Amino acid sequence: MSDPANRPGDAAAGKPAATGSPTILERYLAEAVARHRDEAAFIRLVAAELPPREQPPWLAVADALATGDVHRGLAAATTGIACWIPLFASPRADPRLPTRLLQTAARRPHVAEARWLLLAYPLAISVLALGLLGFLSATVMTAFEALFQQFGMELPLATRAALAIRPFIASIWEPLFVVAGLVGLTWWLAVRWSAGSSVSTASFTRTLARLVAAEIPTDEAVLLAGRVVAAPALDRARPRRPLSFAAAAALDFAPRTAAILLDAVADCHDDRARGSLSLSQWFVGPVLLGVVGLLVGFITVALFFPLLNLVGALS
Amino acid sequence: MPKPTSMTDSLLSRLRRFLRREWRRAAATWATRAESAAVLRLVAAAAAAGVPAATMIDAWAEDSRGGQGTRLEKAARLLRQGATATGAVAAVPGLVQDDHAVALAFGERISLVGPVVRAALAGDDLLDPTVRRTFRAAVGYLTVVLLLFLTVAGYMALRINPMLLQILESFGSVRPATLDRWFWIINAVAGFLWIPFAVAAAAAVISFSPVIRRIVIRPWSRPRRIAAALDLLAVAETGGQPSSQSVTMLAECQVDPRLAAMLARVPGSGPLGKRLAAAGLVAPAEAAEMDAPDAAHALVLHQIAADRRLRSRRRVTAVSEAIVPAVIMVMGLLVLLQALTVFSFLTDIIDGQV
Repeated sequence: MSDPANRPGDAAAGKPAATGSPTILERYLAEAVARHRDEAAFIRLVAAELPPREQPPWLAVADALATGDVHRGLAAATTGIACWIPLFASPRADPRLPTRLLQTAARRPHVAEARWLLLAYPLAISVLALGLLGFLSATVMTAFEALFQQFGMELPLATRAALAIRPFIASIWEPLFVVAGLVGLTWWLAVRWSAGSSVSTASFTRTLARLVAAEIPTDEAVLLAGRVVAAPALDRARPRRPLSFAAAAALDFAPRTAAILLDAVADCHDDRARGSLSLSQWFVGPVLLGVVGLLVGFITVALFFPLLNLVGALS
Repeated sequence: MPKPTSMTDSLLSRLRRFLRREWRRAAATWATRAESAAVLRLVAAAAAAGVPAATMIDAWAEDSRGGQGTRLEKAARLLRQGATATGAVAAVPGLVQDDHAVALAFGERISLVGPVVRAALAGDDLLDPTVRRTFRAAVGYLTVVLLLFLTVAGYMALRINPMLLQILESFGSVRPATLDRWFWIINAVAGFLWIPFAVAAAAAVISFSPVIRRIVIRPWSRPRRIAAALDLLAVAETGGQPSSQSVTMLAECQVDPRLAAMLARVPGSGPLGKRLAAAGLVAPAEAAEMDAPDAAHALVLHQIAADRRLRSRRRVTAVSEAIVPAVIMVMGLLVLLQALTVFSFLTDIIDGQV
């Protein structure tokens, strides 16, 4: 940072603050491409160490740097702007750049994987429950209904209710599967929203810390960090997620001080995100188990009770 | 005389107010682990950056919901009035959890808030959702399975079994052996039915009373707290603090009286490992490792703490994963026995009829 000519964002000096114009991103990309062309080979090495599905944005960055093509860089930034942040925040030949690139690459999208696991479990239980209901309605309940009709018995309310759902299940099992799918999807989106918001806020705040530490003008840093999490325009005067009040307060201090504080705020949001995932993961399994158990228990008791009445009557 | 509807409204609103007040009191007494860690992180970051912690705590209060937001505002006010972070934590009950309060107080005492907080949070298993998730899922499954079992068993005992006996009387038959065995089991289980209810009541009391919760949880959390204490001593050692002083200061900061007593028992002179072993904080083998001629005390202390945490985590995971299938199998066996009893009884009757 000692050489002002190499400092990221210097081309913006004296220009008006960011207003959401795409030229800011273009300008930073152009500067990064000009400063870090030599890093293309290293970025390819980093990409090679990642799982195949995480490689494309890094390879796109490496291609843009190798060719010096800013438009290619802009296209790469639309799918993976996070890969560019260490380049925006580092001057030419910064010895810390490799570490920053590795840190960014090492931050895996593990939360998304956990969400898929979360979705798989309730769906599996729901399918099991529906399959069990279908089996009971097609076999056991049919036999019992015929038996009860044969004896002309007056059935208890629970038994009538259980038998009443048999034709219902037989007629609507297809829409039922669709509804179960929609419920699962809604639930997944809810989890994504609740956990994702904290994850996004953490990611935004950490990116902001890195950009602010590089002495990039605050408004431009907010804009660039916002693009990493696809956030709409943010205003420091009226903070709203992913720009938290604490992050906005930290931005009032000098860049290096602000960066330390922003890193701490990002850690706080990380803790929150992990906590929210934990809640959704431990809660779903037992509740679904209880629902399935109650369903099966209800049908069993409802069918069994009149049978005993019948035997009693026969005796 | 007030109208019945007004009386109902009044009762409902009083009930609502009572529930809300109790809920706030219960919920406002403890910060969650993440909320508590956030306070420490912000205080440590403010100390490292050389800015007033009050500014960050106040801003974080805006980002926080519920009782913790209010507590943070109070703490920020106290900090602005000149209180230390430890003073603010002590004056606002529930702002941070006990272990975190100890770390903060110790960090301030040895003027190493940043490193102490970093070490305390890096080794904090309760911030890791994996352990919590495993434990809570086990408790959740146990609760659900027990509730289902009690419902089914209660229904069978109260409704079905009398019917079976009535049918037997009508047929004038002798009770089948399977039914006798089943009644014996039911009677035996009924003798212990108070246990789940007592456990549920105790859990309710514990969850709504922080004081009782603290007392109940203390023995279980002691191994974790000893590991945390070793970590803090390692930080002090790295920071150049004389070990005898840091042990004394850590004892003064402790909230667990037994651990404080153990730390107070550490002799003032001699090799550190032997002194800690004399107080029961490390095993003799660990002490020998620590007192080896070329051993770095801080590194070995961190290593011992990490090993203990790993062992504790493995124990919790193993117990949580073993209890659930065991209980489900026992319940399943009881339900199977019940089903077999009833069906064999019906078969006997039908055979007799035929």
